[in-house]
Amino acid sequence: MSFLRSAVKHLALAGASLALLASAASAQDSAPREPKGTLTIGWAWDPGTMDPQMHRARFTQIISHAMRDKLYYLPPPGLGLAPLVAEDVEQVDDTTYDLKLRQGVKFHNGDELTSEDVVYTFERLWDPATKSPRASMGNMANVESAEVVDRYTVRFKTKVPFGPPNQAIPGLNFAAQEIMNKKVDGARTLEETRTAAPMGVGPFKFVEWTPNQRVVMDAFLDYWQGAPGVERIIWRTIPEEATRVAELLSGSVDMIYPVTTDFVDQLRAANMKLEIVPGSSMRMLQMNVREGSPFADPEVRRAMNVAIDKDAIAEHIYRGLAVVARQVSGIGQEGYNPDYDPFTYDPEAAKAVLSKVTKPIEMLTVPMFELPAQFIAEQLRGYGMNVSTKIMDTAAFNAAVEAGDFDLALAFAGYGTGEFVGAYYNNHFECSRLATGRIRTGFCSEDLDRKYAELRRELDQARWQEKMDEINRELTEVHMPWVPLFIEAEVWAMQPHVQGFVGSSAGQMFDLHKVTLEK
Amino acid sequence: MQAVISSIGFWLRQIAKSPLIALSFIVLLAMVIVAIFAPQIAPYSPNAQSIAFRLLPPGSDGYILGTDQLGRDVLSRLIWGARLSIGVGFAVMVLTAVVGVILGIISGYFGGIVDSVIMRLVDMWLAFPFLLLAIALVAVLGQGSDKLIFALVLSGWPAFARPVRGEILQLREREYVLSAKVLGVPPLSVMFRHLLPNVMPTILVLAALDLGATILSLAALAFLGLGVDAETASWGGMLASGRNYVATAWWLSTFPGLVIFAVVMASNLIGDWLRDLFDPRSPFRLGSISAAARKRLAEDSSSSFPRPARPEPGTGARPPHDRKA
Amino acid sequence: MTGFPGGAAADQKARFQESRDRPPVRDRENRELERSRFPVKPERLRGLEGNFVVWRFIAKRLLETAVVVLGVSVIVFVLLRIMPGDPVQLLFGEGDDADLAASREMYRQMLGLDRPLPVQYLIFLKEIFTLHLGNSLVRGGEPVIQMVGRALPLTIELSIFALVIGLLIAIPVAVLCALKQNTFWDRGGTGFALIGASMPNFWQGILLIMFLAVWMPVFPVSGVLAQHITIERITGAPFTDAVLTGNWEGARSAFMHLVLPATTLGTTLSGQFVRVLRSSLLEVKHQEFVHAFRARGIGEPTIVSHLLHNALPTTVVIIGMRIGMLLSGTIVIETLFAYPGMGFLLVQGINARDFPVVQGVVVLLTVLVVLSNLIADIIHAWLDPRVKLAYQKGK
Repeated sequence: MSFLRSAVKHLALAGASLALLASAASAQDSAPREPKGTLTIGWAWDPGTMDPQMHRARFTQIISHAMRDKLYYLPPPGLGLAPLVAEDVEQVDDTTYDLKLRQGVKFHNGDELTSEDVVYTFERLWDPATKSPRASMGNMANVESAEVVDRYTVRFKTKVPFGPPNQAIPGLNFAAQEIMNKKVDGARTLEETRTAAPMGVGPFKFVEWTPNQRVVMDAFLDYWQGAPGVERIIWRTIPEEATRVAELLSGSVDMIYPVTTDFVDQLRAANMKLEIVPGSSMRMLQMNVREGSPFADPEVRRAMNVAIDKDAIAEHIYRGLAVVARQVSGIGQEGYNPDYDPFTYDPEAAKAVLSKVTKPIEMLTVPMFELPAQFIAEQLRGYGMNVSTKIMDTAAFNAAVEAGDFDLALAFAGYGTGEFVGAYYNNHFECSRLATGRIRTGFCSEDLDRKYAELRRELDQARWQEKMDEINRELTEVHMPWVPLFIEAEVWAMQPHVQGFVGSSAGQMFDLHKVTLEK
Repeated sequence: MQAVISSIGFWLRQIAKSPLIALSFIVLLAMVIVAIFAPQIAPYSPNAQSIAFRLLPPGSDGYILGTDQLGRDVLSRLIWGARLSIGVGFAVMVLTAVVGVILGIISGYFGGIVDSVIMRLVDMWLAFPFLLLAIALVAVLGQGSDKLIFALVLSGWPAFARPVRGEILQLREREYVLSAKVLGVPPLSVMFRHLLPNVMPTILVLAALDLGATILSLAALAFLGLGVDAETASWGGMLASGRNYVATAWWLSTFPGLVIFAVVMASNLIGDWLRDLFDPRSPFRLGSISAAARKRLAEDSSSSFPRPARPEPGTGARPPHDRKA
Repeated sequence: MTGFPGGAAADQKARFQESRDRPPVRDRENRELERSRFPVKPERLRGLEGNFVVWRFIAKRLLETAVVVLGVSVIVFVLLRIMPGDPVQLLFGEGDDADLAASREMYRQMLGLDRPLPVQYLIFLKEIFTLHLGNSLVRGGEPVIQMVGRALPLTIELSIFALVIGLLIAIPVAVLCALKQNTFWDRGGTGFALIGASMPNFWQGILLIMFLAVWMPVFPVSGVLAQHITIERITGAPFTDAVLTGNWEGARSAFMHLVLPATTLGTTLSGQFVRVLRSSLLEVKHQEFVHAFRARGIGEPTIVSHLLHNALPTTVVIIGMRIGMLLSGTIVIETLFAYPGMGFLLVQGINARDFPVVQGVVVLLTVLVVLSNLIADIIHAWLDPRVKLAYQKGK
């Protein structure tokens, strides 16, 4: 339990800002490694496609990232952005950025990575013929072009000013786009790229993919960060968690992911290693703030914020594999302040207000949160409220929440890139989203939007942090559309002989080349 | 004969002949009693959470069968779960039978277009994956035992309709039916006063089997997250949410699993036993008919290689359970 | 879980009874019955073109199939559209697009989801008729026919193994029951065969995994093949392909991976098989020729084999009906054992609201179920001497 809390502190410091960590990825390890052994990973999904631009699934990235490096990435365990294949970004003028690439980075077929490949990647992404669902991620709708300047420099031109480099890079979405090979991928059709061997600069190269069964990849010995620690990785698709655990216990797989609280005791008793880091998805109670809802009154929302025994949830239901969230900003996210704790659990104060809420309330949630939902409902009923839980499948739940068709929902919001101003604010708090049908809590504050716009224009780091803190504070204490509850940990379970694996809060980008098997 | 069959004493004698069947009836009866008297029998409220007492093994602290992940008493949830599972089970059984039998009789009696249409509907229903239907209905209508009942009846009626139709096709050509038609008895009356009683045995058999199947379906739906809302105790729900704890908190899934097993097995055995009683071809078909009559009966209703051709209908003994108007 | 709750066994028995209770052809009132099910020649057509009636029968059944498929296509199309949940919304997740709404709308248009529903339905129909079945909305546009081509052989092979296991349990039990009828062995035997059918599938699977794969590692826990094995693809079904290519290591691996899921499915079937086999064995047993055999002192084994031979038609009919159910009923088993067949595909598709996949799978399953029923009926007619006899009488 305390392990997770210290990990949180570590992360909060490391990932709180988008400060670029120079050469976070070393070019070469001191001693060259000999790859040894086969690492078998049991995981819950299937990549679906080998084309990095035709999906938006976090889990597909896990596999893809092993084979194709990106310009920037989020080095495990935190949410900070660091250059990977890129070296540096220079701002030439208001709307022009020059990206410098590392030299000597090799593709799996021996080609060297040049700026032509990077330009090809982005042009293919933006090409309407590709029909990529990732074409507008981040702020790329406002990126005009990518050009070759010289062999290792790419020039990005934007339509509007993107601010200093540390603000611009998330908008340019470098961390999410894997670099493709101009010669190889340029010669393939869309259909071919979906199934053909990815040609990337990552530590592992593609061997085979049996859809819905397994993906096999071999070590790429000329990887620019040095040869990987294992010869081969086999990813086995095992959707049911009980089956994954059984496979790990029987010794047929080396690692499994994801792992939930249900099995942690059993795995610990079997001497399995657990890699636990805080996740990057906030679980909260979303309250409908519009007219007619019992939560329209801010006093009711304030009472709700002190009504739930979050520590009990984290300790008993999640057995320490969740961290209590006390503010709207998530751990490791921009604006997160580990010392900010505005509300204390106060059942008396809660009861005084909540006992007057008479309207029967249905709390919507998904099967994953069945247990905490029941616990919370029981607590609220203890205050005299009439609360029942309604479990819906994810698709139906998403539709209902987006449409704002609820009074209370146990929902979640991911911040996998560590950003606040991007996914978080636009999706949940910005007024303009109401017009496009993403209603959710119905919260809207013109004043806050103004502050947010100012924040985006702020170039000075210290003032930016101040403004960010203020927005976080206002959302948490003044407007209170949410009751932040907890952030579950990302848990990987593995055999004791698996070394060197570090979990990732973002859940998608792992330094798999550092994993070794000590038999 | 009718009077004999409807006497309780007769049934009890039949049941006593087989200890396994007697046991099955006792199990079902016990479950029904538990379901009815749940509030009186259950030691705790099924929804009373006490997070400090979570996952206690059976026998600790007054919790006879242990507690679950939120500290709720497993025994109480099992008892209240009986209310839900048995309640839904019987409701589905009755409603499916009603809908299926009505459609089956109509289809069999009228034949022609009506028959074709209804049978094509049955074919469609049989080919359609039941689960998709259940998922879609729950997604549209939401959770709740009434919606579950609706989904299960909707997917289960062909199981009654088709066999009933088959029987009706046979029965409608019997002399007494034809003569009733000639005499101008209205079709509704023919269907429900003359044909229905003769199909009753089949219906009883199907109903017994349907009860077991419904309870299994409820468990499967719970596994996929489509059961009743999370807080209402149900056997399927308990089994589904306990399935990850088989090695660590075995009592969460074992007890609901055993109970489901007992009830379903009981209803299956009873269904088979009823079928044996009523099947005219079966040697242990009920009724005290002489051996000679039994032999003639076997001749009349079965024909097989290398027997000679069957006699014309109208000659030979009639099956004894074929009641006249 | 079996895809069809309610007394499916009763349904089989009813269909079987239907065909057996049919009075002989000479009975005019029942001729319509006859003609609607089997190609029996009415007297006045005696001497005409031999197979004309047979073809007419097949044509009629195919027309009925088309009606059923059309009906199912409408049902599945409508169900998917009224279910809340949008595939594009699921695909994009919460997204960090600057303008998520615009991105989603553009993508929706690309996928053709913004067209009016009747147009979408007509496109769906066209896809059925051209056997193309559309492209997945979420797997980067993978053709549904490819996904099905991978999944269907796995499900068929698993189903066949399940059938075999079901029969392996059911036949000895049914013989035992028939020979020792109305004794404890009879009821107990039926009870034993019903054990698997009285437990929820997933619970049985979890217990099997725990006992036979983890505590006693006899079988692998899940999956289709051991990870180091590749089998050359001919049919797509691993065990079959391994045997066909002489890959014995692969065959062994495929077999071991099939045992646990097939056993879970097979024990569910065995109860129903026992019922029907037992009752047909009992009938046959009480007929004169058996008494005659016994009187002549012919031994039990020969009699038993005669009984089984006479029960063969029933078995075929049941297997025919079971195939349809199995194909759509393996959802739970395939998820639990990581065996990616049709049930797995269906659940994946439903969760992601991948309309073309769900539509394609359901329509395909419908066609297969109806066709397999048709084939089973034809084989039954061919095998069952009674029907042959009735057929010959028409000559």
